[in-house]
Amino acid sequence: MSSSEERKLILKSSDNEEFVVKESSAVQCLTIKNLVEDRCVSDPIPLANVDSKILALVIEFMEKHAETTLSNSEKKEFDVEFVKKPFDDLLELILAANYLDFRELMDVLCNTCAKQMENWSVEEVREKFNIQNDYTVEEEKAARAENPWAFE
Amino acid sequence: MRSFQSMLNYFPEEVLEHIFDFLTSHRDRNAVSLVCKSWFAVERLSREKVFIGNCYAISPERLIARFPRVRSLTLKGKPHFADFNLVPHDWGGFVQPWIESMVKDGVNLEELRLKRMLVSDESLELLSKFFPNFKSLVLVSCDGFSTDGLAAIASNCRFLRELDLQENEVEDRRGQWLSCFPDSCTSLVSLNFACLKGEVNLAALERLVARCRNLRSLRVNHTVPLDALQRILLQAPQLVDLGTGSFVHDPETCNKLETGMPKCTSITSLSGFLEVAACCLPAVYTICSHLTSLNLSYAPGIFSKELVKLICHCNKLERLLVLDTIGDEGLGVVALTCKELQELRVFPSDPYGVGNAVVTEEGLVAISAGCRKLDSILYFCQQMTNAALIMVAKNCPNFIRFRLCTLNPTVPDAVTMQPLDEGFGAIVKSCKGLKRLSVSGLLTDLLFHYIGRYAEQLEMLSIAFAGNSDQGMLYVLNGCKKLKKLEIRDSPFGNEALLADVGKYETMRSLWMSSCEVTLGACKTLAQKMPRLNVEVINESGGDQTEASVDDKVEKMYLYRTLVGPRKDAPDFVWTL
Repeated sequence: MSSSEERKLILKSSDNEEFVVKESSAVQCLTIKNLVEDRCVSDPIPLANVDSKILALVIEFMEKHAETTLSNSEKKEFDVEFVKKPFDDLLELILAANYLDFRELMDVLCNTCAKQMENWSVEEVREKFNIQNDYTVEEEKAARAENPWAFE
Repeated sequence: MRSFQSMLNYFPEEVLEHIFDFLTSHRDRNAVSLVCKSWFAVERLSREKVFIGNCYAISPERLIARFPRVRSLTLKGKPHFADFNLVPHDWGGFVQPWIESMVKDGVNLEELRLKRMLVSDESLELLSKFFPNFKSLVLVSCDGFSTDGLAAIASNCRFLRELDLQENEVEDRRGQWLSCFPDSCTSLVSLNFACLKGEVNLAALERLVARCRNLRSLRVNHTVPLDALQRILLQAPQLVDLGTGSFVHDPETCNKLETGMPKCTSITSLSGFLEVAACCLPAVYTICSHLTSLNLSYAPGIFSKELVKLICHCNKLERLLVLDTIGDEGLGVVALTCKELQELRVFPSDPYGVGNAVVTEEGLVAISAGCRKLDSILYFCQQMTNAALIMVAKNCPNFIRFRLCTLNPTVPDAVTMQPLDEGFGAIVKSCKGLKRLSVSGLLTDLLFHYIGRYAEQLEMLSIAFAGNSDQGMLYVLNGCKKLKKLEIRDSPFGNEALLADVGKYETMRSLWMSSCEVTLGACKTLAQKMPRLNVEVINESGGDQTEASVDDKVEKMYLYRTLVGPRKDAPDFVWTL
């Protein structure tokens, strides 16, 4: 076993919890990979935008997908179970995956998110994403006509 | 406190875009665009696929202003009844202004899908010259172009992946368009020229197929003989979808084909068989067991016995298109064999004659009993009964599309001589997900009462020679909340029905009424009350709008909601009120 496989990193969440991970798993996050390649790795690596609960989940996914003994279909099975989470958690995970630049996790999460959003009304989307409507009544009326009349 | 909840409205744009990338339906993209202003902006700048169901509902300029990064555009022109020759050829639906606008604004167009549009050679040339990344052209039921336009596409589109021509009227200029694909063209994935009338250079076709290693779908026209097809198949064992040309040849070629076919293990979709000799058919038996889609509707030369011999091998079939020469017995074999069948279309082989080639209610019942996954049917038949339709409704509650067409449009129940109201009524009651319905036979207002009451998901309804009074149409307009397209011909619906709820038409894409009881005066009233509808009257008997009286019945009326007012390209015989 070469030393690079055993090299570990310490990741620190925004709420100061530390997680030890294999470097070979962690570099799936391009943000971390860049730090490693530029030899800017501090000890621990602070992740200001990711809390411990979310970081633990990201690490779970990261390590599963780094396992060379698992087949693609086994990884897919894991993914299917992994995304069975409340919508709020999915959104937080998406933000974390974006911050860490973890492409594979992003794809799985965004795809799940989009599938759940199928046939949602505008109001439902606003509610689940916690977005304020900033249209005036007139603007919204005009926008609402264009879509179904032209683009459906 | 969750970290993201404090970020009201804050989702990085790239994250939103990434989520939107996975939203596949236009409906969903439309919904997210309305969430708030920043989402509208992100969505509009990231939408690459745009669908426009009525090319006159919006203008090219507005399309490009809203979606400047559009790469794939779908446009539909003439209304559906154009398929039955009810819409004059030059009514409209020109693609030229769309192409010109996109050229002018530097749109990076890669895909264009057109249905019932008028396409000129000039349009095709512009398309081929000004969109360097153009990859895919799909033309369905279009006309106005010739093989010269196709030559431009072949010559100039360096990265062409798809050229798919379905049921178009194409003028043959004998110009060897297929030879215009340069030797450097190796990118083709799909080539369908089955609807073309003229010959193509066979050697050029064979070389093209040989160098396009990613070719998955090839549908040739009737001028391509069997021996050429046989050589092509040797070059392209990776084909998934094959449309044969002429299937007539000497026994030696048939044998060669029969030995070559087993190598084509990937073929799951088969069509063509234009001009077929039944003795050649056994050549395809070996691939039948893989087939999921089979289209024999252009093959009047295959009779019931041969059809049955072919179909009894096709146990994986999901989609079947045949002529009514298959007969009720043949449909019985389909019912026994094709347990995975989802879509069935039975076309009339002899729509005007009184030949023996027909199917009846028996065939339909057999299919419904055997093919429980059926969700889409188009059935041209000699006769029908209520009892049969009631049985079908019970067997197959999952219909999404149900189109029945009796060859005699007002024929009653063949056994009881009653109207077919109860039968169709059973269909709408049972099939809760029904989105598209075409009815025929003797039908009264009662049927429309059932439709209005039960067809909650109905989006498209076609009516011909049906109903007794305005009440029929009113039942439908009042009841079907999701109705998008209503097309009516030769039915006694008039002004009262047309004008009862004018606001309804702004919730629909379009309404077509021909040979009904609607007068010019009523159409004018409607146009006046509803400025956001284009109300068009098609008057082919000549004469000016000023000469016509308001009490004159209107031959053909087509109205549709639009964001851009009356169109400026209407020919003289189309009066925009």
